[in-house]
Amino acid sequence: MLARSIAALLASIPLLGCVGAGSRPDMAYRMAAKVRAPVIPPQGLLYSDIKAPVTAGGTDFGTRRGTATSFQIGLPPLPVAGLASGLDLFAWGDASSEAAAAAGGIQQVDHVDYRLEVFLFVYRRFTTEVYGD
Amino acid sequence: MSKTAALLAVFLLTLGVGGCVAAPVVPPLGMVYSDFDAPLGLGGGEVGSRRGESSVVAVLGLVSTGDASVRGAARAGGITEVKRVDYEFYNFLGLYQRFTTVVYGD
Repeated sequence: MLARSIAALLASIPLLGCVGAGSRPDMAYRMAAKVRAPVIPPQGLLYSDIKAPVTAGGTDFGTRRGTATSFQIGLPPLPVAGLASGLDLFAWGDASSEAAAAAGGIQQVDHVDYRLEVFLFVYRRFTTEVYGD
Repeated sequence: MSKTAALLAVFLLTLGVGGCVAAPVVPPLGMVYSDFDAPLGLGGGEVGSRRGESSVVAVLGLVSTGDASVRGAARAGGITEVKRVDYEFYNFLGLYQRFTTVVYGD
C-alpha cells in the first residue's frame, strides 16, 4: 500500500510547481485559476486574491482608475473521473477594458492590470483595472 | 491507510501543489526548486534609475495572496514612468511559490 501511494505520488510529480506551464498553457487553467492571461502568478484553490498585469507595454499610469468585473461559479474538484479539475458552470459580467475605462471616466488607457479572487474552489471574481486619463 | 484514503491523500496533495505560473516568457522550470528571473515586457531603451517590486505568494497551492501588478510594483518603487518590466519566480516543491513583478523606471 505504501509502495502504491509512493508510486501514485511520483506519478503526480509532473504537476508539482506546474512544470511545463510554458509548453502546456492550459495546465494553469485546468489546475487552478480558471483564467487565461498573459501573466498568471501561482494561484491558490482555496483562496486567492492576486493582481497581475494584462499589459506590460505602457510607460505611465495616468491619473484615473476604473474597474470592471466578471464572475464565475462552479463545482469544486472531486476525486471522480472527469471532475478532478472541477466543473465550470456559470460565468457572467463585463470585465472589458471598455467597461473599466467607462467606469473610471478614462478616455486614454495607459495601463491594464487584473485582479483575480478565488473563494473556496467554487466562486471566482475577475476584475479588470484600467489606468489612464 | 485504506486504498481510498491513500488515493484521496494523493489527490489532495496533487491538488494542493497544482499552482502554476504563466507568462509570455517562461524559462525551464524546476519542479523541486526554481529561482529565476525573466523578462515580462518593454525590452528596449534604458532601464531608469529606480526599481520597484511587488509579489504574489502561494502556499501549498491552496492559498495565494499578493499584488504582482505592474502598477503595484511601480508604486512600491516610486516609479511614475516605467522603462522595463521583469519578473522573478521562486518555487520550492510547489509548497511555496512566489511570483515577483519587477519594474524599472524613473
